[in-house]
Amino acid sequence: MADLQDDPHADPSLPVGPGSVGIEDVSAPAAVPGALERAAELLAVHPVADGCNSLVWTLSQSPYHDIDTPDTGIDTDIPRLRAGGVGAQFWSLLVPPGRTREGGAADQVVSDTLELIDVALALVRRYPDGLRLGLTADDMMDARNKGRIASYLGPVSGATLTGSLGALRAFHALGVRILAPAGAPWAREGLTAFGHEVVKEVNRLAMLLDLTGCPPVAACQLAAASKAPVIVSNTGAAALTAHPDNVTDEVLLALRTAGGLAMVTFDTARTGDSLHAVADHLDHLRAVAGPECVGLGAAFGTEGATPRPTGLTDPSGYPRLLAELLERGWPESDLALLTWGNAQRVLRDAEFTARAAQHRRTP
Amino acid sequence: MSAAQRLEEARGLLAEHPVVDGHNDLPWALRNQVRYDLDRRDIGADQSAYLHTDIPRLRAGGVGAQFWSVYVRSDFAGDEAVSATLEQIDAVGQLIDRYPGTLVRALTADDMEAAREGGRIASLMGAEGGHSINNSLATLRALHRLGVRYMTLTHNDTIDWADSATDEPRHGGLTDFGREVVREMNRVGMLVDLSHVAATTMRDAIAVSSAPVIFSHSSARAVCDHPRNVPDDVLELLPVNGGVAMATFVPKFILPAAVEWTAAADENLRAHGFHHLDTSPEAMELHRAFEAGRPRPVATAATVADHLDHMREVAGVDHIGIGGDYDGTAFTPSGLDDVAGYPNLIAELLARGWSRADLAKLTWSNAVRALRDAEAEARALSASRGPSNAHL
Repeated sequence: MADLQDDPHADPSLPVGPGSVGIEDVSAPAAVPGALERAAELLAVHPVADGCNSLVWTLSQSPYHDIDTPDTGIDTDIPRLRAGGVGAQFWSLLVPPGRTREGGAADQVVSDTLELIDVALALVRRYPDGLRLGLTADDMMDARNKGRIASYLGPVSGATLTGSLGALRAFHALGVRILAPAGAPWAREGLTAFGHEVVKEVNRLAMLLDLTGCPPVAACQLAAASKAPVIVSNTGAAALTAHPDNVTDEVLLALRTAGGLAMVTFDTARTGDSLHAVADHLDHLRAVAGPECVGLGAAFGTEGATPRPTGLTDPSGYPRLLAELLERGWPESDLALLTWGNAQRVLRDAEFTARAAQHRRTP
Repeated sequence: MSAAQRLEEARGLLAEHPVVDGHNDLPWALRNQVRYDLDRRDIGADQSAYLHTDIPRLRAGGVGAQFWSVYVRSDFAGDEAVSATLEQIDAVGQLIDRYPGTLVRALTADDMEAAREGGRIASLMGAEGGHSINNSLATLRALHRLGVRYMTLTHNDTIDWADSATDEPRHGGLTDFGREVVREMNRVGMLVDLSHVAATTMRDAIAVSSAPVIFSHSSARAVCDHPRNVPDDVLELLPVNGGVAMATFVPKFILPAAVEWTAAADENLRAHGFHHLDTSPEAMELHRAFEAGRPRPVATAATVADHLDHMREVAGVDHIGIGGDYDGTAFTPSGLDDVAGYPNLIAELLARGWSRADLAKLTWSNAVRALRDAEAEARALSASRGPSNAHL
């Protein structure tokens, strides 16, 4: 029962304080005594629920990686996920722009998605000691209690849906829980009538909408149309780093209104080249959207092509990031929301909304 | 025994050994007619104005298990074919959910037996044509996970890896990838359906398949020389393979006189801008107008029985079944007009001296056994082999 004694709410007066700001050396964030240790303790109780990892696509292209052991050819493996305190992971099933299945035609986003679902299910099956398929909000804590990383499948691309919802329900039946509208004709310049139908069905199925990459107008419409909270699974603050995939303050305010979640990526191009820069983005998101609407979505899962901020080059970097946030004066309760609580709440709210909707709507 | 007594006997037999029908196109008819608006085609009540199939007639026909076809048109390709197949699967799920007192989802032979015990109609799914998997074995596995338990290797068109019976051959049967598709179907436990495929494809598939194959809706070529039927040399392979050829009722395949008439009637449909397989009320109106000038040759239960007599003789009584193709064909035999007609076929076979034991195999147990054997083979194979990642 040692965990209970580590409950951050039991001791709010830990040595986190002023004077901790402005530390430059990433390798030594523990200038505030014990910050790194305290971060590790926090993560033991409130692990990271990470919103985005593209390992599934990478494995579909390079199936020879074995993530059971440290693998230097790739930035994600189970030992490093565990070292980083990751307790839940959303595994992206998006095909990177311009890429399609080997030997395939252009017109096959549905088949490509089914291929990635197949790879993801094989991944979860192959590492039963590390990963556990997450289908409901309860599964998140359940997997955690069993010492496994809860693995949620998604997002899949909204471009797979062209005029009917049959494919969406098939994806759901196969275990997918997140849909990303970016790039879909029904959410390109605002939500079409079909787009509204998609949102209602996503709500009815207790799936999440991932607005990453949606233009601000479409993102705000989607956030308003959805009866359940939406997420932006990997992003940064456009106010700090102008990048088309970063969220504007307008979208952050929409998320704040809707109880949604902006999850910060670790990507030099979008969040700057250091751990401090990532923390700056988190500070901004928390200031604008509120502590209930911030999360983490590093978007690891690559073979090293994406430049990463110093100190956050793989999932084992989370404790360092949390130590930095402690030093910046984030209350531990906010950190618990950031890593785990907000993601848990969003999944629960989606299920609650679905139970209500299923009384009113049929497929 | 009088005709009335035979019909009574047939109904009694079907109450114990109901029909497993290999192929019914109700899902496509619902898509085509009403875009799956199940309120407008409530199959809980009589739909004989629009459909061959509804629950009262399934009950009257003594149907105990139905492979609902999740067919999509053969000229669909790529994502269009896959998406439409997913929609068809979704529609079958909605049907099952809507009539829980009558229909029950079945994924295994045990599920079929349990449905029979519980007095409900076991509802299985079969995909009709390899175009539905878009050359992707992961898509094949997805269809299996979604409940599809057979796949016809082609529909009317030759695809990248298998020759169809009704199109120009391009491969001389199955390609290497086509053989890998068959092996993967064996591994996951999906029956290989050889209706619609070229005889060369039939022989290749039986040679490579380690599990029983089926013909979900095909009759005997020796009785009616049509490429959709099974040649004798292939029927002779079934005892060793363990498979089942399920005789179909489609007049244009089983009645020699109907073959030529159908070619002309199809041409008439196409000339009026319809797909020749269209069975919408508008298309049927055109057919009736065409018939006025040229009487349609009519098949009967005896026509189907002629095929079954031959198939029993060549393949053996353990390797035959029934696959009506209701709601997938514009015309049906007289007496087998809709899904209520099966007792008439059984009565005809009783008149021809078929034993009750033989009829029980025909209607129920052969098909259940084929699925059970395919499941056993899948268990054995998946213990020693992982998923195939072969690509074309």
